Amino acid sequence: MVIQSHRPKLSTERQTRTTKNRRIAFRLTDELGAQLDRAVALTGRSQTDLITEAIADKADEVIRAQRLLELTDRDMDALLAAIEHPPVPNAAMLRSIARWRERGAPA
Amino acid sequence: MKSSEPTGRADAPEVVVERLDRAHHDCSRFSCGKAPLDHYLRETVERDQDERTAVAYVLVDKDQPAKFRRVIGYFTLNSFAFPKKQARRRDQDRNLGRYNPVPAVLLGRLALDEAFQGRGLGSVLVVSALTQVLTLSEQLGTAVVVVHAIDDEAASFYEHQGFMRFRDEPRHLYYPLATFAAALAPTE
Repeated sequence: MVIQSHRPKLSTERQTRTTKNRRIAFRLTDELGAQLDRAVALTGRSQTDLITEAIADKADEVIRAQRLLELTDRDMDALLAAIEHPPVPNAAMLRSIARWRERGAPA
Repeated sequence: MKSSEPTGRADAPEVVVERLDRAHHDCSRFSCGKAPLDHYLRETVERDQDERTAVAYVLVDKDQPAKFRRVIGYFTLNSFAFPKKQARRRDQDRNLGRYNPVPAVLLGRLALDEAFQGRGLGSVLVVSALTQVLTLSEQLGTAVVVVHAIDDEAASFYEHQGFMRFRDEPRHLYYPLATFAAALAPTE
């Protein structure tokens, strides 16, 4: 299977979220291609739609399977500072706790 | 405890959090609007629980019969760590330098059924998760809770609750357990 992937340079961060800039082209075996055709026929959805969903699911699964996260120095500094000197809870958290107590929190 | 004014909508049910058990929890109708999170609850969660890589907790309505309750929301927890780079360990982080990696719990997934959204139950789920981790931390050292936000909207929701975003990992946010313990402590 051949996969090409390239990401054009973007002018703004916002653009990456809303526009579909990345183009991926790859080859499938006849067997997998036929399977894809069947799936397209069965769901009535487009090939792109099905493949996009599969990519999103798999990428999500792989990222979430991480059990370690190596931070950059500045993020590690911020994390250690927050552990050593915990910030005071904000008003939203206190409201959430009040709501949780009202809604049947275990005593 | 002092009585507080109502902080949620009146139509939200009284809820309870339980360990997910398919014999007693109806997951079939669960729909949060984000397909991977629905799919995970319906298809994948049991494999993870069998392999002990994650534990799922569900939010259910107290008034439904205990033998089979509809899942209103769920979250998953598993152990997590932040390794420190070799070079840093030697001469920096004098106080926490002895902890390597930094011990954490990952709130990997958290989702609320669409039919129950907009009633403050999302924040009830977050507090339930943090409470569960605080209980765990009495037996297993845990400094922070980490969340992996599925999208920007989710990240903003956690940020509003006081979670802090990593600058170079914008989909990961953290909340120090000491901050949560202080938030739970009686104020009077």
